[in-house]
Amino acid sequence: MELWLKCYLGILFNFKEFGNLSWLAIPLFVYFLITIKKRKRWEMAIAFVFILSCLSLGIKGHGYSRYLFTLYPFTLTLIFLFGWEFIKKKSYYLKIGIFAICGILVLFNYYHSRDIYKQYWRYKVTFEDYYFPYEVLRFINNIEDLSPDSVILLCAGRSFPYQSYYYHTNKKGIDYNNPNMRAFHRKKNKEEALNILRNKLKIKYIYFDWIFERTRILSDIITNDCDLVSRWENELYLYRIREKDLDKEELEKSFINDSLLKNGSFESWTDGASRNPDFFQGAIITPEDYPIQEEKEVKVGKYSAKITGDNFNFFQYLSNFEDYKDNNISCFVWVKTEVPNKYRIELYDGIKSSYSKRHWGGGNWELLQATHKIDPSAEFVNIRVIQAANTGGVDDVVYVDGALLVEGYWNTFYQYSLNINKKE
Amino acid sequence: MILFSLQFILTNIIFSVIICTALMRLNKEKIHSNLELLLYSLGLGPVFTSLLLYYLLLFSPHHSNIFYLLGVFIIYFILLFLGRKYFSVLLIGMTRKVKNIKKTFENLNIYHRIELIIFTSVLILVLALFLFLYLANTLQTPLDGTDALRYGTLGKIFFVEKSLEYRWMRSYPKTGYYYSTNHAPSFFLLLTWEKIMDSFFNADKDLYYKSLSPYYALLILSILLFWLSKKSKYLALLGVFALLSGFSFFSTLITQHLDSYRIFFLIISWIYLAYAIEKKDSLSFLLFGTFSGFAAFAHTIGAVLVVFSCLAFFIFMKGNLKNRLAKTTFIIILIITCGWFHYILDIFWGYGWIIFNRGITYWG
Repeated sequence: MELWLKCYLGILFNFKEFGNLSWLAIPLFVYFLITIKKRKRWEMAIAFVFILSCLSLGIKGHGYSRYLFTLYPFTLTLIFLFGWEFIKKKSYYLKIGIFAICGILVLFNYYHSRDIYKQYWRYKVTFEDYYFPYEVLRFINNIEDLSPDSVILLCAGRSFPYQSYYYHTNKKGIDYNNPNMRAFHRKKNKEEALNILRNKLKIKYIYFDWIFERTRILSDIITNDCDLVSRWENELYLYRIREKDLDKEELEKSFINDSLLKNGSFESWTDGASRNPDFFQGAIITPEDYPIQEEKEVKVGKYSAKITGDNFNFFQYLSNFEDYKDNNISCFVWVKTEVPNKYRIELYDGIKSSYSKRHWGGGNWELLQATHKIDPSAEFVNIRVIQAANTGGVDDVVYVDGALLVEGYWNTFYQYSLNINKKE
Repeated sequence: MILFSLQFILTNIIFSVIICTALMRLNKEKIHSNLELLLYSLGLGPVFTSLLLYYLLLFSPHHSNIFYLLGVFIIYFILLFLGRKYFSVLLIGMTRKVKNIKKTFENLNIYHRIELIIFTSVLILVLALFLFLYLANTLQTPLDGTDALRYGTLGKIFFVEKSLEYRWMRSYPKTGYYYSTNHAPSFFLLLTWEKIMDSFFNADKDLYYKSLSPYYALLILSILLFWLSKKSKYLALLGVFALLSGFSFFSTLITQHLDSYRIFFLIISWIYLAYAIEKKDSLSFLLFGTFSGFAAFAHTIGAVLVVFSCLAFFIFMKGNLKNRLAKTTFIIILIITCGWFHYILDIFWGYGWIIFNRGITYWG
């Protein structure tokens, strides 16, 4: 039924898209058929074209409202012209009555769709909700370390991120499904695939749309061998393929020394190796089930925290949060898990929350990140370095290490570390 | 913004008026009012410029920007020459219209005067507010619709290459861009046109390209207003608000797409279908064929729907079979010249659209 009303007969009954007067075409068409003997040839020609167009767009338009929209202005004009012919000889009061009913129907449609109009107002006029990957595209245009034969790998389908890359940037790209990528797709081993990307295809950057269906090798490369250098919300990411492995000392310096969080690398466990690490709370699934000090799966320092369970927050209250009111904070946390889309960061000030994207669950260390503007009336700030969704997986395991909280809005850890290095 | 204003006035107003005066030359029997001709012609400047650019890039590719600019200007100079006498006719007609309105207004009683002032003020206020917000804010945002970006990228490629050859390929090796679209490049070429003009001012913008959607949406609103106000001004006002109450139409005023552009030509082609059958004058035949061709040149939907129009013309036109066949052939030649030509090339040398593909699809 909905298929018929919204698709095939959408021009008449899709009120949101085409107003709620279009259905009047049906009684007026019946009136046309009744009076067909009186109709002129041009009227019949228009009716003929109109019916064929309706059928064609209804059947071949795949229910896409943009195609049905083709007929909307013409249909509405015909309804008014034809409707006028119908009522022009009627009494004055009847005319006013019909006008009033039509006016109310039109007003009702405005009222009914008020949220959409408001949304467009915020989106296109006041720009409160403006949605455009300025930062990523500007970053790409300003990239200087691309030689003339270097390209950017585009993992973005054919939709908006892909099209905006080619329209708004001046860099050469190679599509993930390009036939020249076959050598990469054939590789079963990450190191060989990476070698193809770096040396054969001369790829230095990966432009990645979050809805892009990634393969395990591509994910492994992104999480192990790339730095996230720019991002747009949690939707569009630009990665840079590292020329050499991460400098462990540099990484530890940043993650241990710079953090506003205490014990962010989980080195201190005063209450014991199977109790919460110092300054952190939560993640106690049962009275016996605390986070465990982990020595093998470590990203920063000597220890990480291993947490088993479902539906929990592992957090620390920011001690001097009043100093950062009305300011931005950025949080970066290394997380490792094999469970997809369960774990993320949450920054909560009692009024609003900001989140990172969720760990993709490929079994690698992934640097999650979230930024948050602390509300001026906040009475606390809770840094939930791990927030686990309620999935029912009580045996799910996550490792967390190197939780870095810094002042300011940092689009990526890469940009933060570049800034720190510049200062030094 | 100054350069954008110049481009807009030149392409959308001056070129359109030149075409209008050339058409007035053919309106010897005065079957069509000059106001109506002018209203429809306001949409012709951009599309005719695009068509000229299409043929220039197709048959004479890889020349300099000045070559294409001059090529377009020369054609408009010829049209200007043909319609030179009709500028004064148009101007006198407009002045007379204003005087008539003034006279009618003076003859009205006080209540009707107030009513007319309020009615006109509401329309002008809404339009002025929209234009202010649009020019100050919305127009300044980057191009952001998936389709508009795709067409824009192709427009840029045509500008860089000064050729349409990449229109029939699926990729552009210089940037690695992959694309597919069946539509004729009418809309895309307007960005090419903007870039050609920009090149003489060392500018790089797309304001003109972005302004096309609301421009044609306003023209569609004007057509509705024109036809309904013949019956009643309140019917016209209700019609305008009813059209805007449909979210699809409202969005064409603020987003960047070719919907209003393609729909405009289709609507006018149907109006002239009716005129051609009813009035049977040569200008109606000419404009029916021309607008139908432009509807096809704008989008594949237009290319399919104008076939129905031709069929309707053939069936419902009065006259013997030979006469109807001759007239329909004339219309078909016009349609092919004004845009369907692209699909013929596409069928034999391009994607094989319609005939060699699995079936007709409207998906670009």
